[in-house]
This record gives sequence, C-alpha cells and structure tokens, in this order.
Amino acid sequence: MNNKKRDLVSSMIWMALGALFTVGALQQGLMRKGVPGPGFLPFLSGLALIFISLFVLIPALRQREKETTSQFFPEPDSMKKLSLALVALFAFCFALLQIGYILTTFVFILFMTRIMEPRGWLTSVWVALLTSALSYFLFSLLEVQLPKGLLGF
Amino acid sequence: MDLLSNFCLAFQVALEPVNIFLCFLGCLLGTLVGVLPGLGPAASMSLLLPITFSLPPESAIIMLGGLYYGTMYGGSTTSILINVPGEAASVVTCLDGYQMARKGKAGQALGIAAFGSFIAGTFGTIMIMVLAPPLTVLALKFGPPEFVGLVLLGLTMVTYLSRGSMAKALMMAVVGLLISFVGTDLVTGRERFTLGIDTIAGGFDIVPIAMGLFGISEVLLNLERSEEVREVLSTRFRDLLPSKEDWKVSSGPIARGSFLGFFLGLIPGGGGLIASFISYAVEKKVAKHPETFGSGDIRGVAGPESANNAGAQGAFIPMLTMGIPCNVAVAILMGALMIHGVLPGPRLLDDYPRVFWGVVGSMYIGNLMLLVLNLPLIGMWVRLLKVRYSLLFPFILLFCLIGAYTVGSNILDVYMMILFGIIGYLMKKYDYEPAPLVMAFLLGPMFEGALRQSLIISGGSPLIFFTHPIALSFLLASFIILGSPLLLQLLGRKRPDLGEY
Repeated sequence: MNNKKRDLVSSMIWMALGALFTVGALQQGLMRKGVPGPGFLPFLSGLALIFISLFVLIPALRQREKETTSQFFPEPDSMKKLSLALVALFAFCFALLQIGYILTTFVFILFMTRIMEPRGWLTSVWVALLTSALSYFLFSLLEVQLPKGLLGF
Repeated sequence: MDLLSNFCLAFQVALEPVNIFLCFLGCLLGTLVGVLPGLGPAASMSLLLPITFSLPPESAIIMLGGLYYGTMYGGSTTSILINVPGEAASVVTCLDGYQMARKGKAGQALGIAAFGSFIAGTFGTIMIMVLAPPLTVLALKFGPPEFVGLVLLGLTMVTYLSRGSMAKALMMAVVGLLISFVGTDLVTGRERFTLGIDTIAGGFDIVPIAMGLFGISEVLLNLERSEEVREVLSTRFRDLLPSKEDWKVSSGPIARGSFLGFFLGLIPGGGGLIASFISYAVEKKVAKHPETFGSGDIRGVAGPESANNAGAQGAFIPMLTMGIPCNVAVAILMGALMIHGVLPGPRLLDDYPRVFWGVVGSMYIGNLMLLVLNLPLIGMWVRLLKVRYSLLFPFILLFCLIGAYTVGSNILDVYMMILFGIIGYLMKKYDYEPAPLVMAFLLGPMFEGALRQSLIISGGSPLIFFTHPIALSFLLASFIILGSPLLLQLLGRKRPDLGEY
C-alpha cells in the first residue's frame, strides 16, 4: 500500500546506501587500461540504486497525504511482543556459548512459549524440556557440533 | 556407454537398500523443511552435511538430493494452505494456490501440484539421462558475454514478477548485488567495502542472509498479530485427485512447465526459483483468459509447480557436468561431493559413473516417494500446520538459530541472521521484497566475474555484447521487460498486477 512517508524515508535510505557504495567504489578503481577494476560494477550499481530510488522518491513527493497511513504496529502490544522476541534471540546467541546448548534451548523455548502467548507453566516446561532433550539427542545422532558451555554440557 | 547401460547402472545404484533408505529420509526431511517456513533447503542441507561424511559419495548426494526436491514438494503445501511459501521457489504457488484453497479447492491445488511435480520430475530424470553428454558440450560454448546477458535476464524476470512496485524490487536486486561485492575481490585479491571488519573480509554468507530475510523476518512479522489472523485452509481433502477437467486444463501448463523448467534449471543462476516465475509468466501469456490468474486458476499452480521441480533437477546438470552450481542448494551438494574427494566437472561422468548415474536413478525414486509422502500423507502435514503458530514459531526460530550456527560453527553467523531478520522485517513493512535481493546476491559474483571477463576479452569495449547474438538477445529482452513498466509507472499508470498475496 502506498505510504508517502515510508516511501520517502526508505527511498532516501537506499539512495544513501547507493551513494556510499558509489563513493567507495571510486576509491577501489574503476578502470585500468581498458580492464575494469574492483570498483567498476559497484560504481555502476551504486549509481543504478540512486537512479532507481528516484522512481520511488518522486512519486512519493508528488503524492498527496490523502491516502490513509496504516499503523506501523497493527496491534497495541505488537511492539512489546516484537521486542521480547528480539531480546530472546540475542540472548540465545549470547547464552549459547556461555551455558551450552541444552540449557539455552530450554530457557529459550520456555520463554517463547510462555511469554508470547499465555498458557500454563506446566505445558511450557514440558515442551521446553522435550525440545531441548530431543533436539540435543537428534543433533548428537547427526554428529552436529553444539556448544557445551561452561558447565560442561 | 549407451543409454541402456546407463539406465541400468542408475537403478542398480539407486535401488541398493541403503540408498533407498537414505533417499526416503532425505525426502521426508525435505518435505518437513519445505512445509515449515523458516528453514530453507540450503540451511537444512548444511545441517545434514556432517552426517554424510561417513557415507559413500553417491549415498550422500542421494540423501541431500532427496532433501532438495523434497523441499520443493513441501513448499507448495504451505504456499497453498497458508499463503506462506515454505521456501523461495514456492512463492509463485502462493498466488493462485492459496486463492484456490480459499475457494475450497485446496485439495485440487495440492493434488495438481504433487502430480505436476511428479510428472515434471520424471520428465527431468529422463532428460538428464538422454541429454547429459551433449549438454556438456553446449554449455561449454556459453562464454562470459552470454552469462552476463543471462544473469541480467534472470534478475529482470524476478523483478518483473515481484508484487508491488517494480522499482522497489529492482532496487532490492541492486542492493543484493552491492552486498555481494562486500568482501574479497576475486580478481585482485583485495578487500572491498569491508570497513576493516574482519568477519566480513570473506564476504557475507548466503545462509544467514536467506534465513534472516525469509525466515526470521517472517516470524517477526507474524508475531505482531494475534493468533486468529492465520488460518490453515483445510477444506475437503477428499478431492486430492484432480478432476478430468482439471487435468485437461493443466496438461498444457504441466508440459510447458516441465520443459521450460528443466532448461531453465540448466542455466547457471537458474533452478526452481526462476523456473517457477517464468512458467507463471508464460502461462499467463499463453492463456486465452488470463484474468483468472491471481484468483485461483489451476494453471497458475500446475505450471510453476512442474517447472520448479523440473528446474530443481535441471539444476543438477551444470554442477555435475561443469562443476558450476546454479544455486546455493546445489552448491552445497557440490561441497559434499568435494569433501568425498569426488570432483564434479566434465570428468565426473567418466571417472565416477556410479555417482552420476546413481544420483540420477534416485531422482526418479525420490519423486515417486515424494508423491506418496505428499498425497496420502497430506493429512499429517496439515496437522502439523494446524498447530497453533504460537507453539510452532519457537521451533522455527530454534531451527533457524541452530541452522545458522552450524554453517561454520560461528556464533557471528547467527547474529548476522538476526540482523538480516530485522532488516527483512523492516523491508517488508516498507513494501520491499527480499527475493530479488537474495537472488542478486547469489548471482552477484558470477555476474561481476562474467562482466569483467567480457570486458577484458573485448579490451574494455562494451561492443562485445553487440557482437555476440545470444548475449545481445538476452540483454534486449531484459531491457524490454524492464523498460516498459517503468515508463508506465512514471506516467502514473500501473502495470498489470500479479495479484496480491
């Protein structure tokens, strides 16, 4: 759906990215004795990005604000759920190497199934337990290397 | 070696009990992966790579291959039932497949997808057997200018077939190219655009990018909404067998899809994805009444589904005969072969006939297994889909997290994936499609390499593209496809929309 403000902002961001690459490409060298250098295609691509962004920017500028702008977050607690999920994802990465696969998975699944949608503690614990145990078993069977963590498992 | 003896060897290897079992395992896992959004063929193949170490080379490829085409089959199931492509090549199936499901024709859609895929797969297998030797010769004739034209055409098709603004899709393709430039320049060996950061000195890896942009972002997007918005359309599975009418209408698309898909799969950069897109475009073009496309036309399912399967099989050929992988999944297969000390390329046919023909034989067996897995067992997959998303998504995330980790046992890949997940989420919010980006990213190195080589050959003159007729025709086609809609867009008129999904 057309959204003037979003198109304006996004097209400018992409233009900036294109400009970054274009400038960077110049430093890499475009042509040397008829042979294209490492900056050749990046330069062209950067320019292309800037150019094509205009096709989004200009119609966005021309467009009147009359179109109803939809909400960024469709529901009141969307942002909360989203942030929680992201925190959990990052925490998983951090914890994986510290406390090992099994524990991290257990906590992760527990958190995700309990927090994101309220349900009984017992179900969540069961699911988390089963998941971490079974998946660990499966991965061991497949001889996939999983981090052990400080506690040794 | 003549055709008959090749045929015998193929099935001799494929029908060994170990290989049958592994093929089945691969197909099963592949369907599972295809059905569950978030994990694609490439990621799951990398996950399973370590366990193939202890297997003989042909068995390893048989299993991974089964996984690969399994995802093609499984991906259509989710596309049709919940409008979420299980993996990239099933995107097109969403267009009409989901609409068919909404009209209560989910069974027919699934049925024709499975049968079409099977027919196309069988066709593909036969074609490989017949064409492998002469195709090696033809493919070798494609030089750098032809590759440039081809890649450009492929990217153009992807942007043309994107929903929404074509300018935005094109931008994403260029962004994908730009991202592919980050890392070490293959020609000079110098680092480009890495900003001195060590981790990206080798460039970005496809798996975190693809998993992030396709998988993580999708989950994030779905988390915003409460449960009820997602429904699994499950009306009437009794009619899995398409009617006579369905067959009549679909036979053309299936035939065209198989043929087109196979040859498109042969082309580097091809494979299931491009094959399904182009098949859709072709069917729409060829149809007497194209208006029904986008609102539940069975032809929009039959064609692309056949094409993407034929394409998946065709994609094996450049890897096996030339050592050039068309796409990431096939690249992983190639990696598996190399780990076993089997070098893919023109020598493979002669030096390791067991590997080559064994793989080909199991393609057919795999297709057969997948037909069984996908039709009679469809209930099982549906039950899986019906599980509440709030219970399902943690597992999808977990699989993605572990999948990204196992690529290189590097936690940074996982962080990268999450980052791209956020980017993908924002992109989708702002109406930018990730598919062109990933496609361009994959093709970037090949494209740039071919472009630079072409210019080196011509001494810097762009005229080389005009003197090579095949390359020229690809380029012209690209510009025509690109040019007219953009012009229409400027004039404020919309190009025909492929229907929203």
